[in-house]
Amino acid sequence: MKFLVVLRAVAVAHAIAVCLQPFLAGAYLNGSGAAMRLHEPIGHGAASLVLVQLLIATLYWRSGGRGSAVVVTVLLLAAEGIQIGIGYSRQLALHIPVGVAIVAIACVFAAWTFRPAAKVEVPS
Amino acid sequence: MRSAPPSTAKQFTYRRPRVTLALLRIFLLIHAALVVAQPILAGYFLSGEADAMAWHSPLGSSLFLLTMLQLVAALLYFWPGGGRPWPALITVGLIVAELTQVVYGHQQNFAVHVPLGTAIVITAVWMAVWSFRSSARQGRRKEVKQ
Repeated sequence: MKFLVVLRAVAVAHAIAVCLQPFLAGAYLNGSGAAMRLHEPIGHGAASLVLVQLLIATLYWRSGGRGSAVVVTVLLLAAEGIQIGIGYSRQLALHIPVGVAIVAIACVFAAWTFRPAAKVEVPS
Repeated sequence: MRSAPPSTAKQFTYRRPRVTLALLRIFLLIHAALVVAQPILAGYFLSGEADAMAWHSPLGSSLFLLTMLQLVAALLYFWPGGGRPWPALITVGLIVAELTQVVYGHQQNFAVHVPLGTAIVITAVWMAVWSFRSSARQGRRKEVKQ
């Protein structure tokens, strides 16, 4: 379960990155071009962090943690891949609700890693 | 549910919310569904669908009325239901947030409107999910003296 500490760190870093995105998107809609120049690399950074999170979640799962951490991370990875695609193609009707869902899942997941349920050893 | 069995030791009984929890769930589900519609409508509007604002604006402006009913349900869940106090406290926060959201929406200040909207959606959805978890059914500990 030593990977739980690493998983917490990655999940929190990812949640922070993802929480920045609506602020930057809102600032961009207010007319700030600088905000959009930050929204793009942070989006890519968040997707990279999810890849790291997938690796750590897999190690956490294989060392006795919950498999659901891997399932949630795979869902996040898929959602963020789609999110980057529809962001570049300006499909805002999808980009905004998918973005809200990503922020929700990322925050709940990061909070979950600190709950007692995340510490439980699952017999393999 | 209030029958205390005779015993010499101190008896503890848990008054579990049932009817009030069901009522709270109804409001939480309706609230979450309407709140989730808002980013979808906003996204359609920003994609060039001007009609979406004819839904987003009145829905957003009236959501706090539903949240006030949700507050009544959350207070009934707390007392006499015997449930936790925090759904009522968070609902007060949601009312404040939703009224603030209307102001910033009309001002078209998206740097506040978009992140605050995200926070409202997450809070409303999480409350609805939580209400179906086992911790929502547990009552506050109540001591019954013999």
